[in-house]
Amino acid sequence: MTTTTHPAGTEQEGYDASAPLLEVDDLHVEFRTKAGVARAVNGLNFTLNAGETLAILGESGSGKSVTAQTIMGILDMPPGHIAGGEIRYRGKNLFDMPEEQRRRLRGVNISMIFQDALSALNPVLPVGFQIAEMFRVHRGFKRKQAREEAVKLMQKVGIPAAEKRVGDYPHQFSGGMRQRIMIAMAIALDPDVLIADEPTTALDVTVQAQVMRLLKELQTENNMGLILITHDLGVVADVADKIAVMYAGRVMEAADVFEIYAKPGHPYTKGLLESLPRIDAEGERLNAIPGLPPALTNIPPGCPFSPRCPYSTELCRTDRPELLPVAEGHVSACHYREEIYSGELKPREEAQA
Amino acid sequence: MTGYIIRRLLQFIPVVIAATLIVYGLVFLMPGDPIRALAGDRPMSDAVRETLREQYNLDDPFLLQYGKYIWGVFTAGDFGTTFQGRPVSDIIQQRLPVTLTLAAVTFVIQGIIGIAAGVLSAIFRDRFIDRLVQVSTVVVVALPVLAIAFVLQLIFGLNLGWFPIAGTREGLYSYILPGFAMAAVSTAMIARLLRGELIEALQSDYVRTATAKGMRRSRVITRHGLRNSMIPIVTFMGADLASMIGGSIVVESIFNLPGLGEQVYRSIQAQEGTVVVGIVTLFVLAFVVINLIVDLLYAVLDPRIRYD
Repeated sequence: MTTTTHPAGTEQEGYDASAPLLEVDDLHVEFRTKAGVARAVNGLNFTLNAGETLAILGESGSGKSVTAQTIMGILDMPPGHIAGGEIRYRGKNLFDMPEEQRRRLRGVNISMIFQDALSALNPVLPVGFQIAEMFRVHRGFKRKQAREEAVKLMQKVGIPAAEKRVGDYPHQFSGGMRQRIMIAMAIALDPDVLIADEPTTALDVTVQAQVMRLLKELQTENNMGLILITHDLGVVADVADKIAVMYAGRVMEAADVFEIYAKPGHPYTKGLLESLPRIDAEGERLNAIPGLPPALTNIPPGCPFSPRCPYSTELCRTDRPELLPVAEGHVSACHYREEIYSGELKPREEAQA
Repeated sequence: MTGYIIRRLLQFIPVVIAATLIVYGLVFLMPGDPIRALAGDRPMSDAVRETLREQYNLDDPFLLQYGKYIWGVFTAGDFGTTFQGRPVSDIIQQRLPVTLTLAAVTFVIQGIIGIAAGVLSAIFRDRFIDRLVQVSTVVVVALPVLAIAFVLQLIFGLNLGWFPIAGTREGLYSYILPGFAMAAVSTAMIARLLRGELIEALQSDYVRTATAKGMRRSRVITRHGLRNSMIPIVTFMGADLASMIGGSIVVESIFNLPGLGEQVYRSIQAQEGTVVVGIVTLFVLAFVVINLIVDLLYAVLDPRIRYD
């Protein structure tokens, strides 16, 4: 790699070096469709520091990907609409920036890896061109120089015979190699924040581990803040420092990774962990969480998880619990977080029905 | 790749034979005696008629006539002679430039306007420009070329006097009006086709990736969106160009352009089979060659397509 140069004028443009790398503050995102308003993200909060891996965990429709797209500024608007809140990069609100300034952040300071590399890479352009494009557009490199950088990056992410393959097209690579090319593209300009949206979901299990290892290595090397969006609890345990569990567009629980696995403070997290296949429970049925997530056009007034929650009470159905601490660095949005955390509370019979 | 080209070239042979055989047969089946048509009102002695029939192989059985003709085309480049004794290849040489110029002007017009309208329509989807393009293209597609040509001739040629209405005396400028008449329908088709393709491309994951890479909107649209949407447009424009090489009977006749289309029209009326067949043979050859080029271009535009 060449020397890391941050975009000209990073300091002048009002960034605060002492502020956290990325803060999402009470973010609301909705989709205004003919069928009604779908509230995809409802008051989301989290903070990401340099060198930290935050896993955002949640099932389909929990607002994970919408959050990622909102941070990147690639949400389709309309129908998407930012209904409130702020996203601050080094203390500066992204929503206050002129579009041109935001564009210069994309791929340079904040960059993103997509789930399906085959559709996310342009099918008619050589991979080398697609990587080199980063240097040509953001750094003004000449064609040849940019191509050399692309080859170096391909070597760095572990693509064999990179020199020969730089002119190949995406369909000529295997799934794992394609995802490595996506990664090469995303880290080309040494971003501070890397968002990986289900980076290994489309890959074989063996390849998944390799790709995650590569991501982790690159993160450590460049001291990046990594947001790992996933629904796979297994992936999270290996690489994440912190976990935020999302449900119906909100953080239900956030804590560091060991804490959350050992002592979940929210019934939803507890349910997710209990639904994992266990090696010592062979032959038993998996404990799936009953029911489905709420429709985003019609989120229940109280706790969004209450209809599926085995611990829910009348209070849960009427009052939405705030995200409050249960222990040092551990927050949960549950009225009974203390009891869940300590394991005192037993499931209620009527809720099970 | 080379193998593919050779195979495609070999496929020319049956295509050319079939096409020319059909046209030759149609001319053969035309009612009336061509020699009599040639003589017109004046009397013609039996001896002269016999000589002429002999000269043009008119007494041979159909297949032998055809065989003699096609043999001449491929061995000596001899497309036959007219009843006036003029070689058909001469006529083609004289008239081809007019048709090629018209085809080129048409191609450029539909390329520029069609692509521009399609791109604008896709970018400003559901906005005023898009609606305008959508409505106007429907109208144009629905109109026959004949009507478009006469309307253009009337408004811009006669009433406004901006363009010549007939002939080729003013050089390239004379081709603008006929070019627009001929390009109109295809331009509308290209605009509509490209709009759909580009809208789809702009919603694709790879375009989203390009935006996430911090590319400018203009680069996202041209390098990433348009690059992909142009594949079917190239196919369409190629096929369209191929059909223009044969000349447009309607447009060339209305604007009185001495091109191949106008010649075909005249020769059919005069029952001059050799001329019709000669021009059609050329047209078939051009069509097949252009289609081959389009197919090869396709592989360049879309690397996922490989011919082996």
